[in-house]
Amino acid sequence: MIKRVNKVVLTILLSIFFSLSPAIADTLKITHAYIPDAPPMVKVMAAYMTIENTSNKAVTVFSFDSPVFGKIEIHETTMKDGMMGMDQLPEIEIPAKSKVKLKPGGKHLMLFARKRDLKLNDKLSITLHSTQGKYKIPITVKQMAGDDSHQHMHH
Amino acid sequence: MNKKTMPFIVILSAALLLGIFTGDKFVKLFVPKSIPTDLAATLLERAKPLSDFQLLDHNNQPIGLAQLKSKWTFMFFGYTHCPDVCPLAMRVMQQVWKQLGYLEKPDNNVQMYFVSVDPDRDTPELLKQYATHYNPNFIGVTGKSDQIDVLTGQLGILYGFGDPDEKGDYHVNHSGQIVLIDPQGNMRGVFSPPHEPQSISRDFLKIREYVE
Repeated sequence: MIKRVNKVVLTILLSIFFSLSPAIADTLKITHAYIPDAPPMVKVMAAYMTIENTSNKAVTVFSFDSPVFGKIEIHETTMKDGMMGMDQLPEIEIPAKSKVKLKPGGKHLMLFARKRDLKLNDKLSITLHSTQGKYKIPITVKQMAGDDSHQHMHH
Repeated sequence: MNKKTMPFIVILSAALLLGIFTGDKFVKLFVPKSIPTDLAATLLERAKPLSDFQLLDHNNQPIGLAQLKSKWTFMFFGYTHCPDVCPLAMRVMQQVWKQLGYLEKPDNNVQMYFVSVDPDRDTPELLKQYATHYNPNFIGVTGKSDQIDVLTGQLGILYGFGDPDEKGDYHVNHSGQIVLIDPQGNMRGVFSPPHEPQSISRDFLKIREYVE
């Protein structure tokens, strides 16, 4: 009797585990997602993240959306004729077994038509749409991290 | 020894004697300081004097050449609808400010300007919120286009407007350099992107040491 109950419990646990497990087998792994803290009057914000493709075939990321923003576009900062500009990208292709970093001064998301004020440490979600399905990404408002992680000053 | 060379010998001896008595000062007067090498920044070997311009700071007070004197000025040009490059530069300036403060305590004789090249959208009121968000000491500046051009033209800063979309939003392409102006109102250096706060702080101190 006890053995049977154990078996039932185990089956239930296993089925719960496997129903959650697509997360484990996911093709895309998204890390370091954040929105840099910005002055409240700012109309357009940015978002950064690292998207890793763990599978053996290329994945195309074609759009993002979020309940907090009216529109999200993918952009890349470029240098042309000595000026910094931005090009809108229709999609981001992530080759097999590699990662693409969205980071300050490079590829980034542009977040338009913010529906509420955002301040440091606020949490929200952005959904990524790709050829491998959609991914809901939890994202936090943080201080912008440049390539300047070393605060220590030698002198 | 003839009569013609005599006066030169007298002057030379006098100069040498003066040198012996004044020591260090003699060296400082007659031997030029060597130009700092190993800079990531571009140091202008010949200071470029700036001519006056008439802009407004974020409290609607005039900003011109007079306001650049007596302090070292870091200047970045951008616009507040810029989501990536400008916040990144502001963050860099924020860290440079902090690093200089650590080294020299509060009175570091430095000011940092964010100059908007998009005066149609960036009013002084908005610029105040923008600049002071990054540091309460930062100063937002803008003004009439022709006066912005008087300043950007002298500093070699370029900018251009993109086509507006259906909602009237547009991008502004602009130079990404942070410009350094000395307390006499001369352009002295240029920090080109990608910016690294630590190297800007270090180079600034070397440039200042060389200039002052």
